[in-house]
Amino acid sequence: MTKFNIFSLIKNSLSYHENWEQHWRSPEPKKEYDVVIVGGGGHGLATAYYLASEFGITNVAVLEKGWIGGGNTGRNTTIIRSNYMWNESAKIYEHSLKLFEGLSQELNYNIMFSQRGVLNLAHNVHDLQEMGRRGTAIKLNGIDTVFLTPEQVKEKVPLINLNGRYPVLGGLFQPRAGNARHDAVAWGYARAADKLGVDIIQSCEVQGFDIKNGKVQGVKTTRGNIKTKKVGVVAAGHSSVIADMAGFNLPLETVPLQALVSEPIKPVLDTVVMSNAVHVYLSQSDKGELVIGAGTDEFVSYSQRGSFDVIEHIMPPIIELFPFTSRLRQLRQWGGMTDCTTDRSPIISKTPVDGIMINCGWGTGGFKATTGSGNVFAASLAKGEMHPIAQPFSIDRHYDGYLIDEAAAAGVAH
Amino acid sequence: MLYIKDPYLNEMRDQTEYHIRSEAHKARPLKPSEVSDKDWGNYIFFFANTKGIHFERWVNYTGHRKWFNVIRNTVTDEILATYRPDEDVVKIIADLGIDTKDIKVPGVLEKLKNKHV
Repeated sequence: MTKFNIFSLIKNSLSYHENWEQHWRSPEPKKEYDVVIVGGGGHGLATAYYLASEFGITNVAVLEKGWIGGGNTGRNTTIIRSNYMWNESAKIYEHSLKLFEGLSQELNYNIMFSQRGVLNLAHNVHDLQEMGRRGTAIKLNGIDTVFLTPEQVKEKVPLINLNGRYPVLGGLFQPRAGNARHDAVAWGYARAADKLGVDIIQSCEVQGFDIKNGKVQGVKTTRGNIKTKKVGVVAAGHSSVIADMAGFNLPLETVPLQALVSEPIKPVLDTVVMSNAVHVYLSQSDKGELVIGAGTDEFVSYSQRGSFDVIEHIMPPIIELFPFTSRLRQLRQWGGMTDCTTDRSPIISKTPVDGIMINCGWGTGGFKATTGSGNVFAASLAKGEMHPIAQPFSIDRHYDGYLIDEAAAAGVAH
Repeated sequence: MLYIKDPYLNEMRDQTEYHIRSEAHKARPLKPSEVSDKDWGNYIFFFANTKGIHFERWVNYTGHRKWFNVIRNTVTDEILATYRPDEDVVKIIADLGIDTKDIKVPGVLEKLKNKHV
Protein backbone atom coordinates (compact mmCIF):
# COMPACT_ATOMS: atom_id res chain seq x y z
CA MET A 1 0.00 0.00 0.00
CA THR A 2 1.27 3.45 -0.89
CA LYS A 3 2.45 5.51 2.04
CA PHE A 4 1.05 8.99 1.74
CA ASN A 5 3.78 11.65 1.73
CA ILE A 6 5.01 14.52 -0.38
CA PHE A 7 6.91 12.18 -2.73
CA SER A 8 3.95 9.90 -3.46
CA LEU A 9 1.87 13.01 -4.02
CA ILE A 10 4.32 14.43 -6.56
CA LYS A 11 4.72 11.05 -8.25
CA ASN A 12 0.98 10.62 -8.65
CA SER A 13 0.43 14.20 -9.77
CA LEU A 14 2.59 13.38 -12.81
CA SER A 15 -0.01 10.81 -13.87
CA TYR A 16 -2.91 13.17 -13.09
CA HIS A 17 -3.79 11.23 -9.90
CA GLU A 18 -5.23 8.42 -11.99
CA ASN A 19 -2.95 5.67 -10.69
CA TRP A 20 -3.54 5.75 -6.93
CA GLU A 21 -4.12 2.19 -5.81
CA GLN A 22 -7.26 1.12 -3.94
CA HIS A 23 -7.15 1.94 -0.24
CA TRP A 24 -8.59 -1.37 0.89
CA ARG A 25 -9.43 -4.74 -0.63
CA SER A 26 -12.93 -6.12 -1.20
CA PRO A 27 -12.34 -9.73 -0.13
CA GLU A 28 -14.75 -12.64 -0.16
CA PRO A 29 -15.70 -13.64 3.38
CA LYS A 30 -13.65 -16.51 4.82
CA LYS A 31 -15.27 -19.53 6.52
CA GLU A 32 -14.09 -18.52 9.97
CA TYR A 33 -12.77 -15.48 11.83
CA ASP A 34 -11.40 -14.91 15.33
CA VAL A 35 -13.59 -11.82 15.69
CA VAL A 36 -16.51 -10.59 13.59
CA ILE A 37 -17.49 -6.93 13.86
CA VAL A 38 -21.08 -6.20 12.82
CA GLY A 39 -21.21 -2.66 11.43
CA GLY A 40 -18.69 -0.85 9.25
CA GLY A 41 -19.09 2.64 10.60
CA GLY A 42 -16.34 4.61 12.30
CA HIS A 43 -16.70 2.79 15.61
CA GLY A 44 -16.65 -0.67 14.00
CA LEU A 45 -13.67 0.10 11.78
CA ALA A 46 -11.79 1.64 14.73
CA THR A 47 -12.51 -1.50 16.76
CA ALA A 48 -11.08 -3.68 13.98
CA TYR A 49 -8.03 -1.46 13.61
CA TYR A 50 -7.16 -1.53 17.33
CA LEU A 51 -7.78 -5.30 17.51
CA ALA A 52 -5.11 -5.69 14.85
CA SER A 53 -2.70 -2.94 15.87
CA GLU A 54 -2.77 -3.24 19.67
CA PHE A 55 -3.69 -6.87 20.23
CA GLY A 56 -2.29 -8.59 17.14
CA ILE A 57 -5.69 -10.11 16.30
CA THR A 58 -5.75 -9.78 12.53
CA ASN A 59 -8.16 -12.57 11.54
CA VAL A 60 -11.03 -10.10 11.82
CA ALA A 61 -13.98 -9.35 9.55
CA VAL A 62 -15.98 -6.13 9.51
CA LEU A 63 -19.44 -6.85 8.05
CA GLU A 64 -21.26 -3.86 6.62
CA LYS A 65 -24.77 -3.98 5.18
CA GLY A 66 -24.24 -0.98 2.90
CA TRP A 67 -20.92 0.75 2.37
CA ILE A 68 -18.47 1.75 5.09
CA GLY A 69 -19.09 5.09 6.75
CA GLY A 70 -22.45 5.42 4.97
CA GLY A 71 -24.55 5.64 8.12
CA ASN A 72 -24.19 8.04 11.00
CA THR A 73 -20.42 8.33 10.44
CA GLY A 74 -21.10 10.25 7.26
CA ARG A 75 -24.14 12.09 8.57
CA ASN A 76 -22.98 13.90 11.70
CA THR A 77 -21.80 17.48 12.24
CA THR A 78 -18.21 16.28 12.92
CA ILE A 79 -17.84 17.92 16.34
CA ILE A 80 -15.20 16.50 18.68
CA ARG A 81 -15.01 17.55 22.35
CA SER A 82 -14.59 16.00 25.77
CA ASN A 83 -16.24 18.55 28.09
CA TYR A 84 -18.62 16.14 29.80
CA MET A 85 -19.63 16.42 33.41
CA TRP A 86 -19.51 12.92 34.89
CA ASN A 87 -16.20 11.20 35.65
CA GLU A 88 -17.09 8.11 33.60
CA SER A 89 -17.90 10.22 30.53
CA ALA A 90 -14.84 12.43 31.02
CA LYS A 91 -12.62 9.35 30.91
CA ILE A 92 -13.95 7.90 27.67
CA TYR A 93 -14.39 11.18 25.78
CA GLU A 94 -10.98 12.53 26.85
CA HIS A 95 -9.41 9.19 25.89
CA SER A 96 -11.05 9.66 22.47
CA LEU A 97 -9.91 13.27 22.09
CA LYS A 98 -6.31 12.31 22.89
CA LEU A 99 -6.42 9.55 20.28
CA PHE A 100 -7.82 12.04 17.73
CA GLU A 101 -4.86 14.33 18.41
CA GLY A 102 -2.42 11.75 17.05
CA LEU A 103 -4.67 9.99 14.57
CA SER A 104 -3.55 11.53 11.27
CA GLN A 105 0.05 10.51 11.98
CA GLU A 106 -0.85 7.09 13.32
CA LEU A 107 -3.02 6.17 10.34
CA ASN A 108 -0.91 8.03 7.77
CA TYR A 109 -4.20 9.56 6.63
CA ASN A 110 -5.16 13.21 6.95
CA ILE A 111 -8.35 13.28 9.00
CA MET A 112 -8.25 17.11 8.89
CA PHE A 113 -8.53 17.39 12.66
CA SER A 114 -8.90 21.07 13.44
CA GLN A 115 -8.76 22.03 17.12
CA ARG A 116 -10.71 25.24 16.67
CA GLY A 117 -12.47 24.90 20.02
CA VAL A 118 -16.09 24.46 21.02
CA LEU A 119 -17.99 27.33 22.62
CA ASN A 120 -21.11 26.71 24.70
CA LEU A 121 -23.36 29.73 25.26
CA ALA A 122 -25.32 30.70 28.37
CA HIS A 123 -28.50 32.72 27.81
CA ASN A 124 -29.95 32.90 31.31
CA VAL A 125 -29.04 32.57 34.97
CA HIS A 126 -29.82 28.88 34.98
CA ASP A 127 -27.49 28.29 32.03
CA LEU A 128 -24.72 30.16 33.88
CA GLN A 129 -25.21 28.06 36.99
CA GLU A 130 -25.29 24.82 35.02
CA MET A 131 -22.15 25.89 33.20
CA GLY A 132 -20.45 26.76 36.47
CA ARG A 133 -21.22 23.33 37.83
CA ARG A 134 -20.31 21.41 34.69
CA GLY A 135 -17.26 23.54 33.93
CA THR A 136 -15.87 23.05 37.42
CA ALA A 137 -16.41 19.29 37.24
CA ILE A 138 -14.64 19.22 33.87
CA LYS A 139 -11.70 21.22 35.26
CA LEU A 140 -11.41 18.86 38.22
CA ASN A 141 -11.06 16.01 35.73
CA GLY A 142 -8.07 17.79 34.21
CA ILE A 143 -9.83 18.65 30.94
CA ASP A 144 -9.16 22.06 29.43
CA THR A 145 -12.05 24.45 29.86
CA VAL A 146 -12.37 28.22 30.06
CA PHE A 147 -15.22 30.44 31.28
CA LEU A 148 -15.83 33.40 28.98
CA THR A 149 -17.54 36.73 29.60
CA PRO A 150 -19.92 38.09 26.94
CA GLU A 151 -17.14 40.42 25.76
CA GLN A 152 -14.76 37.49 25.33
CA VAL A 153 -17.48 35.61 23.42
CA LYS A 154 -17.87 38.60 21.10
CA GLU A 155 -14.12 38.73 20.58
CA LYS A 156 -14.04 35.07 19.58
CA VAL A 157 -17.19 35.21 17.44
CA PRO A 158 -17.52 38.81 16.19
CA LEU A 159 -20.70 38.18 14.18
CA ILE A 160 -22.74 37.03 17.17
CA ASN A 161 -25.63 39.12 18.46
CA LEU A 162 -25.19 39.35 22.24
CA ASN A 163 -28.37 41.29 23.00
CA GLY A 164 -31.13 39.66 20.99
CA ARG A 165 -34.06 37.54 21.98
CA TYR A 166 -31.49 35.15 23.48
CA PRO A 167 -28.98 37.39 25.27
CA VAL A 168 -25.51 35.91 25.74
CA LEU A 169 -24.51 36.06 29.40
CA GLY A 170 -21.38 33.96 29.17
CA GLY A 171 -19.71 30.98 27.62
CA LEU A 172 -17.83 27.78 28.32
CA PHE A 173 -14.99 27.10 25.93
CA GLN A 174 -12.91 23.99 25.32
CA PRO A 175 -9.85 25.05 23.28
CA ARG A 176 -8.72 21.50 22.35
CA ALA A 177 -12.11 20.57 20.92
CA GLY A 178 -12.94 21.00 17.24
CA ASN A 179 -13.85 19.23 14.01
CA ALA A 180 -12.47 16.46 11.84
CA ARG A 181 -13.41 15.18 8.42
CA HIS A 182 -15.85 12.38 9.28
CA ASP A 183 -15.40 10.33 6.09
CA ALA A 184 -11.64 10.51 6.46
CA VAL A 185 -11.88 8.99 9.94
CA ALA A 186 -13.78 5.99 8.54
CA TRP A 187 -11.55 5.67 5.47
CA GLY A 188 -8.34 6.14 7.46
CA TYR A 189 -9.28 3.38 9.89
CA ALA A 190 -10.45 1.13 7.03
CA ARG A 191 -7.21 1.57 5.12
CA ALA A 192 -5.03 1.01 8.18
CA ALA A 193 -7.05 -2.01 9.34
CA ASP A 194 -7.00 -3.55 5.85
CA LYS A 195 -3.23 -3.13 5.73
CA LEU A 196 -2.96 -5.17 8.95
CA GLY A 197 -5.03 -7.99 7.42
CA VAL A 198 -8.59 -7.15 8.50
CA ASP A 199 -11.25 -8.13 5.92
CA ILE A 200 -13.71 -5.31 5.29
CA ILE A 201 -16.76 -6.93 3.71
CA GLN A 202 -19.31 -4.48 2.32
CA SER A 203 -22.81 -5.23 1.02
CA CYS A 204 -22.99 -8.03 3.57
CA GLU A 205 -26.02 -7.96 5.82
CA VAL A 206 -26.16 -9.95 9.04
CA GLN A 207 -29.41 -11.95 9.14
CA GLY A 208 -29.01 -14.01 12.28
CA PHE A 209 -26.71 -15.74 14.71
CA ASP A 210 -25.86 -19.37 15.30
CA ILE A 211 -26.19 -19.68 19.08
CA LYS A 212 -25.78 -23.00 20.96
CA ASN A 213 -26.23 -23.32 24.73
CA GLY A 214 -26.09 -19.54 25.12
CA LYS A 215 -22.79 -19.31 23.22
CA VAL A 216 -22.31 -17.74 19.83
CA GLN A 217 -20.97 -20.11 17.16
CA GLY A 218 -21.33 -18.03 14.04
CA VAL A 219 -23.05 -15.33 12.05
CA LYS A 220 -25.55 -15.82 9.21
CA THR A 221 -25.17 -13.27 6.45
CA THR A 222 -26.39 -12.54 2.95
CA ARG A 223 -22.98 -13.76 1.78
CA GLY A 224 -23.03 -17.06 3.62
CA ASN A 225 -22.46 -18.36 7.12
CA ILE A 226 -19.33 -17.32 8.98
CA LYS A 227 -18.01 -19.20 12.00
CA THR A 228 -16.71 -17.21 14.95
CA LYS A 229 -16.56 -17.35 18.75
CA LYS A 230 -16.47 -13.58 19.23
CA VAL A 231 -18.84 -10.98 17.81
CA GLY A 232 -18.72 -7.24 18.41
CA VAL A 233 -21.99 -5.53 17.49
CA VAL A 234 -21.44 -1.87 16.56
CA ALA A 235 -24.61 -1.23 14.59
CA ALA A 236 -25.75 2.18 15.93
CA GLY A 237 -29.38 2.79 14.89
CA HIS A 238 -29.88 -0.88 14.00
CA SER A 239 -28.54 -2.25 17.29
CA SER A 240 -32.00 -3.28 18.48
CA VAL A 241 -32.59 -5.16 15.21
CA ILE A 242 -29.33 -7.10 15.61
CA ALA A 243 -30.03 -7.73 19.32
CA ASP A 244 -33.46 -9.09 18.40
CA MET A 245 -31.75 -11.67 16.12
CA ALA A 246 -29.68 -12.78 19.11
CA GLY A 247 -32.77 -12.93 21.32
CA PHE A 248 -32.45 -9.99 23.68
CA ASN A 249 -33.74 -6.43 24.05
CA LEU A 250 -31.76 -3.23 24.50
CA PRO A 251 -32.48 -0.04 26.46
CA LEU A 252 -32.57 1.95 23.23
CA GLU A 253 -34.91 3.91 21.00
CA THR A 254 -33.85 4.82 17.48
CA VAL A 255 -34.83 8.36 16.54
CA PRO A 256 -33.92 10.49 13.52
CA LEU A 257 -31.48 13.36 14.01
CA GLN A 258 -31.10 15.98 11.32
CA ALA A 259 -28.41 18.30 10.10
CA LEU A 260 -28.20 20.81 7.30
CA VAL A 261 -25.60 22.88 5.50
CA SER A 262 -25.84 26.31 3.92
CA GLU A 263 -24.38 27.56 0.68
CA PRO A 264 -20.62 28.16 0.99
CA ILE A 265 -19.56 31.62 2.13
CA LYS A 266 -16.31 33.36 3.08
CA PRO A 267 -14.84 32.48 6.50
CA VAL A 268 -17.11 33.89 9.22
CA LEU A 269 -16.76 31.44 12.08
CA ASP A 270 -13.54 29.77 13.24
CA THR A 271 -14.90 27.86 16.20
CA VAL A 272 -17.88 25.62 16.94
CA VAL A 273 -20.79 27.41 18.65
CA MET A 274 -23.35 25.52 20.69
CA SER A 275 -26.32 26.72 22.63
CA ASN A 276 -28.13 24.28 24.86
CA ALA A 277 -31.06 26.53 25.66
CA VAL A 278 -32.09 27.33 22.10
CA HIS A 279 -30.86 24.05 20.68
CA VAL A 280 -28.40 25.34 18.12
CA TYR A 281 -24.99 24.11 17.14
CA LEU A 282 -23.09 25.32 14.16
CA SER A 283 -19.64 25.51 12.66
CA GLN A 284 -18.14 26.39 9.30
CA SER A 285 -16.70 23.65 7.15
CA ASP A 286 -13.48 24.00 5.19
CA LYS A 287 -15.62 24.37 2.08
CA GLY A 288 -17.26 27.42 3.65
CA GLU A 289 -20.68 25.92 4.35
CA LEU A 290 -22.29 26.56 7.72
CA VAL A 291 -22.93 23.13 9.21
CA ILE A 292 -26.01 23.25 11.40
CA GLY A 293 -27.18 20.55 13.74
CA ALA A 294 -30.91 20.30 14.26
CA GLY A 295 -32.76 18.25 16.83
CA THR A 296 -34.16 14.76 16.98
CA ASP A 297 -37.70 13.74 16.26
CA GLU A 298 -39.54 12.32 19.24
CA PHE A 299 -40.67 9.14 17.55
CA VAL A 300 -38.87 5.93 16.65
CA SER A 301 -37.98 5.86 12.98
CA TYR A 302 -35.60 3.94 10.73
CA SER A 303 -36.40 6.13 7.75
CA GLN A 304 -33.16 8.20 7.83
CA ARG A 305 -35.40 11.23 7.43
CA GLY A 306 -36.43 13.89 9.93
CA SER A 307 -39.49 16.10 10.21
CA PHE A 308 -39.65 19.60 8.84
CA ASP A 309 -40.95 21.10 12.11
CA VAL A 310 -37.60 20.27 13.72
CA ILE A 311 -35.80 22.44 11.18
CA GLU A 312 -38.44 25.13 11.57
CA HIS A 313 -37.78 25.06 15.30
CA ILE A 314 -34.03 25.75 15.07
CA MET A 315 -33.85 28.35 12.32
CA PRO A 316 -35.29 31.36 14.26
CA PRO A 317 -32.74 31.12 17.11
CA ILE A 318 -29.89 30.83 14.61
CA ILE A 319 -31.04 33.98 12.83
CA GLU A 320 -31.48 35.69 16.20
CA LEU A 321 -27.95 34.77 17.32
CA PHE A 322 -26.35 35.30 13.91
CA PRO A 323 -28.46 37.89 12.05
CA PHE A 324 -26.23 37.61 8.95
CA THR A 325 -27.66 34.12 8.32
CA SER A 326 -31.16 35.44 7.64
CA ARG A 327 -30.64 35.48 3.87
CA LEU A 328 -28.37 32.48 3.72
CA ARG A 329 -29.79 29.62 1.67
CA GLN A 330 -29.70 26.13 3.08
CA LEU A 331 -28.42 23.72 0.46
CA ARG A 332 -28.76 20.25 1.85
CA GLN A 333 -30.55 18.55 4.72
CA TRP A 334 -30.37 14.94 5.85
CA GLY A 335 -31.13 12.62 8.73
CA GLY A 336 -29.41 9.79 10.54
CA MET A 337 -30.80 7.19 12.91
CA THR A 338 -29.50 7.68 16.41
CA ASP A 339 -29.70 4.95 19.04
CA CYS A 340 -30.60 6.83 22.21
CA THR A 341 -30.45 5.56 25.78
CA THR A 342 -32.48 7.20 28.51
CA ASP A 343 -29.38 8.61 30.26
CA ARG A 344 -27.78 9.67 26.96
CA SER A 345 -24.67 7.61 27.70
CA PRO A 346 -23.45 4.73 25.53
CA ILE A 347 -23.59 1.01 26.17
CA ILE A 348 -20.31 -0.90 25.92
CA SER A 349 -21.13 -4.20 27.41
CA LYS A 350 -21.36 -7.95 27.48
CA THR A 351 -24.77 -9.29 26.49
CA PRO A 352 -26.94 -12.23 27.59
CA VAL A 353 -25.28 -14.26 24.80
CA ASP A 354 -21.79 -15.52 25.60
CA GLY A 355 -19.32 -14.24 23.00
CA ILE A 356 -21.43 -11.32 21.78
CA MET A 357 -20.42 -7.89 23.03
CA ILE A 358 -22.23 -4.72 22.10
CA ASN A 359 -21.15 -1.13 21.61
CA CYS A 360 -24.13 1.13 21.00
CA GLY A 361 -26.29 3.87 22.48
CA TRP A 362 -24.00 6.68 21.34
CA GLY A 363 -27.16 8.46 20.32
CA THR A 364 -26.71 11.96 18.99
CA GLY A 365 -23.02 12.33 19.84
CA GLY A 366 -21.03 9.30 18.81
CA PHE A 367 -18.64 10.72 16.24
CA LYS A 368 -16.43 12.39 18.85
CA ALA A 369 -15.88 9.02 20.54
CA THR A 370 -15.07 6.99 17.41
CA THR A 371 -11.44 6.57 18.48
CA GLY A 372 -11.86 5.84 22.19
CA SER A 373 -14.95 3.70 21.70
CA GLY A 374 -13.14 1.50 19.18
CA ASN A 375 -10.05 1.39 21.36
CA VAL A 376 -11.71 0.21 24.58
CA PHE A 377 -14.12 -2.08 22.72
CA ALA A 378 -11.19 -3.76 20.95
CA ALA A 379 -9.49 -4.28 24.32
CA SER A 380 -12.70 -5.77 25.74
CA LEU A 381 -13.16 -8.14 22.78
CA ALA A 382 -9.50 -9.20 22.85
CA LYS A 383 -9.45 -9.99 26.57
CA GLY A 384 -13.03 -11.16 27.01
CA GLU A 385 -13.40 -8.72 29.91
CA MET A 386 -14.60 -5.15 29.72
CA HIS A 387 -11.88 -2.48 29.63
CA PRO A 388 -11.89 -0.36 32.86
CA ILE A 389 -13.06 2.74 30.94
CA ALA A 390 -15.93 0.71 29.44
CA GLN A 391 -17.07 -0.97 32.65
CA PRO A 392 -19.42 1.79 33.88
CA PHE A 393 -21.23 1.68 30.51
CA SER A 394 -22.59 -1.83 31.04
CA ILE A 395 -26.20 -2.69 30.17
CA ASP A 396 -26.55 -3.60 33.86
CA ARG A 397 -26.63 0.04 34.90
CA HIS A 398 -30.28 -0.01 33.84
CA TYR A 399 -30.92 -2.60 36.55
CA ASP A 400 -28.72 -1.40 39.42
CA GLY A 401 -29.49 2.27 38.88
CA TYR A 402 -25.93 3.54 38.34
CA LEU A 403 -26.96 5.66 35.37
CA ILE A 404 -24.53 8.14 33.84
CA ASP A 405 -26.99 10.90 33.28
CA GLU A 406 -25.37 13.14 30.69
CA ALA A 407 -27.71 15.97 29.85
CA ALA A 408 -24.65 17.46 28.17
CA ALA A 409 -24.28 14.53 25.84
CA ALA A 410 -25.46 16.21 22.69
CA GLY A 411 -24.66 19.69 23.93
CA VAL A 412 -28.36 20.44 23.80
CA ALA A 413 -31.18 20.59 26.29
CA HIS A 414 -33.00 17.31 26.66
CA MET B 1 -43.75 15.09 9.61
CA LEU B 2 -46.78 13.02 10.42
CA TYR B 3 -50.44 13.68 9.81
CA ILE B 4 -52.37 11.87 12.51
CA LYS B 5 -55.99 10.78 12.59
CA ASP B 6 -57.05 11.68 16.13
CA PRO B 7 -59.32 8.88 17.38
CA TYR B 8 -61.19 11.24 19.73
CA LEU B 9 -61.78 14.06 17.23
CA ASN B 10 -62.04 11.60 14.36
CA GLU B 11 -60.19 13.97 12.05
CA MET B 12 -56.71 14.42 10.60
CA ARG B 13 -54.47 16.70 12.70
CA ASP B 14 -50.89 17.91 12.49
CA GLN B 15 -48.18 16.03 14.42
CA THR B 16 -47.05 19.25 16.15
CA GLU B 17 -50.23 19.17 18.25
CA TYR B 18 -49.06 15.90 19.80
CA HIS B 19 -46.25 14.38 21.79
CA ILE B 20 -45.18 10.78 21.64
CA ARG B 21 -44.43 8.96 24.85
CA SER B 22 -42.74 5.77 23.75
CA GLU B 23 -43.93 2.19 23.43
CA ALA B 24 -47.61 1.32 23.91
CA HIS B 25 -49.16 -1.53 25.90
CA LYS B 26 -46.37 -1.46 28.49
CA ALA B 27 -48.15 -2.30 31.73
CA ARG B 28 -46.75 -0.67 34.85
CA PRO B 29 -46.14 -3.31 37.54
CA LEU B 30 -49.04 -3.16 40.01
CA LYS B 31 -46.78 -3.27 43.08
CA PRO B 32 -43.47 -1.62 42.12
CA SER B 33 -41.96 -2.20 45.57
CA GLU B 34 -42.32 -5.96 45.11
CA VAL B 35 -40.82 -6.10 41.63
CA SER B 36 -37.20 -7.25 41.16
CA ASP B 37 -34.57 -4.76 39.94
CA LYS B 38 -34.40 -6.71 36.70
CA ASP B 39 -38.15 -6.47 36.02
CA TRP B 40 -38.28 -2.82 37.04
CA GLY B 41 -35.29 -1.99 34.80
CA ASN B 42 -36.96 -3.81 31.93
CA TYR B 43 -40.17 -1.88 32.48
CA ILE B 44 -38.52 1.54 32.65
CA PHE B 45 -35.63 1.39 30.19
CA PHE B 46 -35.98 -1.43 27.66
CA PHE B 47 -37.86 -1.08 24.40
CA ALA B 48 -38.76 -3.25 21.44
CA ASN B 49 -37.58 -0.34 19.26
CA THR B 50 -39.15 -2.13 16.31
CA LYS B 51 -37.98 -1.67 12.75
CA GLY B 52 -41.30 -2.16 11.00
CA ILE B 53 -44.71 -2.42 12.65
CA HIS B 54 -44.50 -0.45 15.91
CA PHE B 55 -47.04 0.38 18.61
CA GLU B 56 -46.67 3.67 20.42
CA ARG B 57 -48.48 6.05 22.76
CA TRP B 58 -49.28 9.60 21.72
CA VAL B 59 -50.91 12.42 23.65
CA ASN B 60 -52.61 15.55 22.40
CA TYR B 61 -51.14 18.46 24.35
CA THR B 62 -52.65 21.48 22.65
CA GLY B 63 -56.31 20.56 23.00
CA HIS B 64 -58.12 17.66 24.64
CA ARG B 65 -54.94 16.23 26.26
CA LYS B 66 -56.09 12.63 25.90
CA TRP B 67 -53.90 9.61 25.24
CA PHE B 68 -54.21 7.18 22.37
CA ASN B 69 -52.17 4.53 20.57
CA VAL B 70 -50.73 4.54 17.07
CA ILE B 71 -49.66 1.62 14.87
CA ARG B 72 -46.95 2.89 12.57
CA ASN B 73 -44.41 1.43 10.16
CA THR B 74 -41.10 2.88 11.41
CA VAL B 75 -39.38 2.31 8.07
CA THR B 76 -41.83 4.28 5.95
CA ASP B 77 -43.35 6.37 8.81
CA GLU B 78 -46.76 5.34 7.44
CA ILE B 79 -49.49 5.32 10.11
CA LEU B 80 -51.60 2.16 9.84
CA ALA B 81 -54.12 2.88 12.59
CA THR B 82 -54.84 5.06 15.60
CA TYR B 83 -57.04 3.85 18.44
CA ARG B 84 -58.16 4.70 21.95
CA PRO B 85 -56.66 2.66 24.83
CA ASP B 86 -60.08 1.05 25.47
CA GLU B 87 -60.30 -0.35 21.94
CA ASP B 88 -59.40 -3.98 21.22
CA VAL B 89 -55.91 -4.00 19.71
CA VAL B 90 -56.15 -7.68 18.76
CA LYS B 91 -59.18 -6.96 16.60
CA ILE B 92 -57.48 -3.96 15.01
CA ILE B 93 -54.43 -6.09 14.15
CA ALA B 94 -56.72 -8.73 12.59
CA ASP B 95 -58.67 -6.10 10.64
CA LEU B 96 -55.45 -4.60 9.27
CA GLY B 97 -54.20 -8.07 8.31
CA ILE B 98 -50.85 -7.56 10.09
CA ASP B 99 -48.78 -10.74 10.24
CA THR B 100 -48.29 -11.35 13.97
CA LYS B 101 -44.76 -12.60 13.25
CA ASP B 102 -43.83 -8.97 12.46
CA ILE B 103 -44.86 -7.73 15.90
CA LYS B 104 -42.08 -7.20 18.46
CA VAL B 105 -43.74 -5.06 21.14
CA PRO B 106 -43.97 -7.29 24.27
CA GLY B 107 -47.25 -5.81 25.54
CA VAL B 108 -49.00 -6.52 22.25
CA LEU B 109 -47.57 -10.05 22.04
CA GLU B 110 -48.95 -10.65 25.54
CA LYS B 111 -52.40 -9.52 24.44
CA LEU B 112 -52.29 -11.74 21.35
CA LYS B 113 -51.22 -14.72 23.43
CA ASN B 114 -54.01 -14.23 25.98
CA LYS B 115 -56.53 -13.97 23.18
CA HIS B 116 -55.58 -17.34 21.75
CA VAL B 117 -55.68 -19.16 25.11
